[in-house]
Amino acid sequence: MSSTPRVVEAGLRTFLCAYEGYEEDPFCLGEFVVVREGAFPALGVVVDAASGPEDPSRPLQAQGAAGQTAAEVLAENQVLRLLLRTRVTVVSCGYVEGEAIRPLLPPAPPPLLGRVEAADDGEVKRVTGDGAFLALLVASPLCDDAVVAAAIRSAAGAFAGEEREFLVGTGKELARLLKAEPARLASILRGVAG
Amino acid sequence: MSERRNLGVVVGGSLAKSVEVRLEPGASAQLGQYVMSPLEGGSRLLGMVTDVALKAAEAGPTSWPPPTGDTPFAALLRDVLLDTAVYTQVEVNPYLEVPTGGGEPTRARRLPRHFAPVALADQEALAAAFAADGQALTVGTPLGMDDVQVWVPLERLFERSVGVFGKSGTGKTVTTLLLLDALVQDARDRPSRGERTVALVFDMHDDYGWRMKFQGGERQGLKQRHPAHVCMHPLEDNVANSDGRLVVGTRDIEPADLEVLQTIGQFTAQAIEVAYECRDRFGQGWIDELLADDPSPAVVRKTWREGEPPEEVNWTRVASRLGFHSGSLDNLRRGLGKFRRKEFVQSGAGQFARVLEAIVQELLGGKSVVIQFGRFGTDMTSYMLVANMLSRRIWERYRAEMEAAQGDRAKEPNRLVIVIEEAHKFVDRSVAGKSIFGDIARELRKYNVTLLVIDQRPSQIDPEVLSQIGTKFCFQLDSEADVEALVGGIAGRAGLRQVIAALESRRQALVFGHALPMPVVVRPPELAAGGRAGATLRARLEGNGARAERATPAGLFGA
Ligand SMILES: Nc1ncnc2c1ncn2[C@@H]1O[C@H](COP(=O)(O)OP(=O)(O)OP(=O)(O)O)[C@@H](O)[C@H]1O
Ligand SMILES: [Mg+2]
Repeated sequence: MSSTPRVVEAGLRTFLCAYEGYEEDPFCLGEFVVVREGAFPALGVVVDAASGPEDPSRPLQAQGAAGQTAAEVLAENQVLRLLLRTRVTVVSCGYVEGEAIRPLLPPAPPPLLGRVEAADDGEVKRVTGDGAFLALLVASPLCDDAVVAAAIRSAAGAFAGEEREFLVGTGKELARLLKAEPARLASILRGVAG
Repeated sequence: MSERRNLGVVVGGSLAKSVEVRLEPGASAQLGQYVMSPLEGGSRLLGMVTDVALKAAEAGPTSWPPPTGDTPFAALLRDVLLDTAVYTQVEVNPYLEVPTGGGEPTRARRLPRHFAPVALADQEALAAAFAADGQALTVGTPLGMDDVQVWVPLERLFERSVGVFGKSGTGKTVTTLLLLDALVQDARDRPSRGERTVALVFDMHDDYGWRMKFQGGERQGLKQRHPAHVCMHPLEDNVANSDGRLVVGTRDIEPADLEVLQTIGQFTAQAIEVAYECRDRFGQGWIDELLADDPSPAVVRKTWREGEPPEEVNWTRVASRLGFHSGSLDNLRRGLGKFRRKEFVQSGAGQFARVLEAIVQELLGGKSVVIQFGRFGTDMTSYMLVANMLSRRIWERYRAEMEAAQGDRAKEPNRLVIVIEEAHKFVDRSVAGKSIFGDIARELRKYNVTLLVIDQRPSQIDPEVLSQIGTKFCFQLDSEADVEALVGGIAGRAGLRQVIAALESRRQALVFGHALPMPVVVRPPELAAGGRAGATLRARLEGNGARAERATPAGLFGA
């Protein structure tokens, strides 16, 4: 299966990427992705994923015989897959400039049709290490508490063996950002601690 | 400044109160510890931690604290909030500005900037702050710094009165022995007796003379350490190593000697008035007369100088003839009767004048004197009577010598330190005005006599007398009132109060006042068995001004 998703709408703060068709297993919520193209390769966090008909005016009809699974229905109707799309919304949280990764808004949006790939552990560590990436997430209207929690959890995966230190350090950064919103801090950390 | 000792950063404060320091994560500070912070221009501010406070940057986390328990969420939230939303702040009383690379420390007159780093004070800064030229003794190591000694210049220590305060078993006696040992050692080192400072010790519990009871064993007293420079006068008979027993004759006691005994309920104020009247009328033998069962013919004659005595004369009649209530005379006679039954009190003139003269000569000759009370030490009346009698007379001699010298330093008597225990009984608020010790405390500079008072209840001491005490060694105290009495008038008292409250129950004291540049919490040196005396003393070599090899307190006060 899996096609490479590409940027279909590009902004500084967010960009939208789409798979060529329907993708059952897209990037996960909170996953760090990177567009390694353009002047300033951009890093971001997946904040939303949605699948549906390519043409919103032609809604998908429920179909399939009784007892068939989704996979069986799709296998029988190959053409259906081409009428569907999976889209993933990404919030920017850094960019690459030469050797450095900066946890800031990229100076320019990623190129349209740029390939969106999962960031590797090294990239994730560098963009999240000092906790500064949180400022962009917390400020984004697209990021609710669940999204921030998912992002922190996925970043912690890159810090094998030092997850706890990372979580506490990041939590402290978050505590500074949310100093006037203790309830929000608690709700995010509850999501992080799982 | 090593990383390890970094504590935090300055976040606020004032010179008049204290500097606020926000602790770094993981750092901790104890009350009474010294910290330092760089000042502009290269010197360092030295201050003492006087309070530790838990603070919250915002109200939220303290209004909705993390849940207790060990769930991952609770543990994470707690770890996250610590040192961010909530943190520890210490208050530091600013005291001294210490120039880096030598130079005299001065009183702190400025503060570090915001966010200046704060670290535990290092050896060099403390050594500079507590360095003393000339003869100095160490009073111990500052809190948490076992490698630094706090030196106090002897001269400065004893030029004003000294107080050693603390509840029972805190280490007052051990510390006093330390001070006195240094004093005698210093006297030994001085060739001319006029330069010596000597002590007159009223040794209530036989701690300072020949031996001191210590942790089930014993330690050498002053006389054993300095046989040629300390004289011992016991009240008991047949005491070894005595330089002459002290005996009080009833003819030696003056009404003024009794006045201070009012504080312990021995005499009423009226009884003292009767005493003055009887002394006037009956002459030197007044006590012997009063102790007779019935008034003697001489008493009768002197009572009824004009007019006829009644046929039947008794003490009640004598009292009313003299214009007093008979109860007052009874009170006086009862009290005197108690004295008379003590073995060190004898009828008539006794040996008192001779021993007194011997003591005066010893003191003026540069020797220290210990009056050992033996079993009479448990009797406050005996203690106060003897201490008062001797001190009054010796002080008068010193005063006379001082006045005769007419400002000629060479002719002035050497400095005398009178050591009394349970001082509050002598300088109680009610009698301080009448007590010789009140006078000494007030006029100390004039007559070269100062006090070293040892007491458990400083709040009972007349505030005026207390304010005359220059240097205070303050061990753990029983009550707020006692703490307040000691720190009441001084700058930064709120902080010092905290520090005193946090003292350990033994062998830890806050030392402050005249002889020190700033207050310091010390652990006094260990009192070791035997050993070379005077090892706590440090002398400055004459001539080149270099310091003599630093004497560690390894001798008398063990390693
Ligand atoms: N510097 C010290 N070195 C070693 N032990 C000490 C020291 N100071 C105090 N101690 C211990 O504490 C005990 C009590 O000390 P000390 O007799 O000086 O107390 P105090 O304050 O005079 O008590 P009190 O009021 O009952 O006379 C000592 O016997 C000793 O065990
Ligand atoms: Mg004692």
